[in-house]
Amino acid sequence: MIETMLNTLVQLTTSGYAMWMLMLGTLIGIFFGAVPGLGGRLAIAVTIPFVFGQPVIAGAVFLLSMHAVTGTAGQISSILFGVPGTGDDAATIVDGYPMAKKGEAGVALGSSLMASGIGGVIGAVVLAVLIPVIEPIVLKFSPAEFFFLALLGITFVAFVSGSAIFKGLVVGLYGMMLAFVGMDPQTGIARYSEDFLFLWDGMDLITAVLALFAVPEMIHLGVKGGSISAVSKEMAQTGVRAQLKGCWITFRHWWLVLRCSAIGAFIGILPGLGGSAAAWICYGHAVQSSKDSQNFGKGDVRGVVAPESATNSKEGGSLLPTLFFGVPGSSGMAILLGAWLILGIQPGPMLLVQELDLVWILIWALVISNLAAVVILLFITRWVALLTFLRGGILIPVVLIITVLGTLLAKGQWENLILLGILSVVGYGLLKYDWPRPPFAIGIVLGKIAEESLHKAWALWRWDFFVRPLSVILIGLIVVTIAYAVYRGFIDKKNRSSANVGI
Amino acid sequence: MSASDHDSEDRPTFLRALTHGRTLFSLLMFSIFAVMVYVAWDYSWPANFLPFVIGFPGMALTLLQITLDIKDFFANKGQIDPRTDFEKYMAELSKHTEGLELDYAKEELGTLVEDHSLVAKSRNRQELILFGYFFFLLAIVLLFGFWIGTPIFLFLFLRFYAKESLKLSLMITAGVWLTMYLILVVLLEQIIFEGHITNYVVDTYLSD
Repeated sequence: MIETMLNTLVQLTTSGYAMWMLMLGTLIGIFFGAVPGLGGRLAIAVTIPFVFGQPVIAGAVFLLSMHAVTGTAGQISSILFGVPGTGDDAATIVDGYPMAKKGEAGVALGSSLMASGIGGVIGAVVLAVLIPVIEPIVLKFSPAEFFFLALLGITFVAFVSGSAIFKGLVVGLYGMMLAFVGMDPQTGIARYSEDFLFLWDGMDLITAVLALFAVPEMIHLGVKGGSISAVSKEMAQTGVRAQLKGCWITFRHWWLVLRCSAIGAFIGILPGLGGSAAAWICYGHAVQSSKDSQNFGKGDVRGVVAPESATNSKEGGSLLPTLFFGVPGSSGMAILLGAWLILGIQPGPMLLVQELDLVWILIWALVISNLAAVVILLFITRWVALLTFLRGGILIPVVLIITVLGTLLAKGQWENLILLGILSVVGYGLLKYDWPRPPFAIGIVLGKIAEESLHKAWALWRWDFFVRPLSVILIGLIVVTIAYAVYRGFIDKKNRSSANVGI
Repeated sequence: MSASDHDSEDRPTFLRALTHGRTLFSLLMFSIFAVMVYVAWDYSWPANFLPFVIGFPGMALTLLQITLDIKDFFANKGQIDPRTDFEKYMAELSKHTEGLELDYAKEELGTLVEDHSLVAKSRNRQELILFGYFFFLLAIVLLFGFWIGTPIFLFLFLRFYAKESLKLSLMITAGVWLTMYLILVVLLEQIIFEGHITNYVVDTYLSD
């Protein structure tokens, strides 16, 4: 194992093209993280078409490194301007912004960068340590379990939607239904495609992902107004020396960073909890575990370090269910999983047997990209901060053009543009009426896998596949997840109505 | 208009609940499942198996959602907050961080006190305009191709929607077009869809 570990490190670092893609991914990730309203999910959705046809390793490394560092860059606008790049960065505002107001922006940025970097590395280490533990469990899975895992994946991600679990489930099922478009592998019937030849190969995943994620985000950005130019640009002035001081301060709180990184990584393993939960849980942990908590909320560096280390370490954790079970650990991982499938990576236990090298390369990519982002941002933060002022009016048409380009490049079929238009309307409806979209990505990605697994399981065991021990456990987990979500929704509603009575 | 007329207009009725955007969207989701299940009747086993296994629960859940939407409409007396969950979340966050002067959150808080129906109307208008631009982009690329269609769209969007200056609009359009051309055509040698009209013109008048 150690030999594989070291060999893959050498393989990655000596491959000029893979390293170039890693650095490119890191830089693009910094851009998407720094501009409020863009974020990692959109970054993957928009760049998938450009990695299509690339060598598997280079493409996978590019996407993962880009996704891994968006959180690191997202904190810049949180700390300097009180504007979170994404929901995950909101916890950093509580102490990061007051620090900036007190003239300690550089220290806050430095400590958050270092905490993010360390968190990302610890997340990768947790993943690496858990590989030998998870291997015997994963290898016990058969097609029957993979069918139920697909359903469990949708249930878990629908769970992200909190009280709106029904909406989440519907969106996941909708994604699965669209996965059935095209030639049925068993009977050769062209399902839902009639005489439209471009649909016989199935609905283009890239077009669907762009329509559901990229276009609605841009329309939404235009509707709510993307400009935050009211904030003073002077706040963006930070010195490298102050940031280095912040880095050093992070090491003074090494035990807190270690604890929060571990918590974040384990939250990442549990599908559905997401980065926002990781950040707030660790913020709460930092407050509760400190002897002098009176400074929290007024500019305490521990309030920056704790959520940032958790947010980045969760990415390593969420790779575990994504890679070995095909169940994405977060919404971003759901889109990443779809992108990897397009590249030809088949998630599941066989990755551990046949593609262990690739797994290790991804772990190393996670480590290197996190460290690279810290080093890069230490020197270019003041310029990256200016990206916060990029006007929505300029950003929207450019992203829309990239979306159209991606659709045309994916399969070279102009008909997909019409599909993009139709699905974008549905995608925007989902966003506007608060239907969670990540379950769609899982549904459309796992739909085909679920169908193949079901047919295999049926051929092997007929109805007995429902009563296999692992199947029963997975069915139980699906039922418990839905029941708990319904219960949680009921409690939330009860709390809200009692709060209203109180008012 | 008298006060009683105004009240009766605002009173939540079943028809208003059913034609509210939220409910209509749930109905759209229901009809997608219903049509897909209906079409699947014509397929032989096992091609129709999973469309049924997934489609029927999908229909049931969307029906449940429609019921919840209507219930929600009456519970809120027809005044549904048009903000997305993320926007509400940011507004909540700003409440907990009072005194921090978060510019973004203040902006979001501003919409909290506004009349929801007015906010919804201005949003709907913006959405229609933006979708108009998006469909214009799709149409122009389908007709004239990527290389002719995108600069026209980009310039019009920047000049008339974003209200950028003529100089900046031209500079951005030229910069973006040139960058894409250099990367895609010169570097990667990609051939991108040339548009139906462009192809027709080239085939009819310009080819040997």
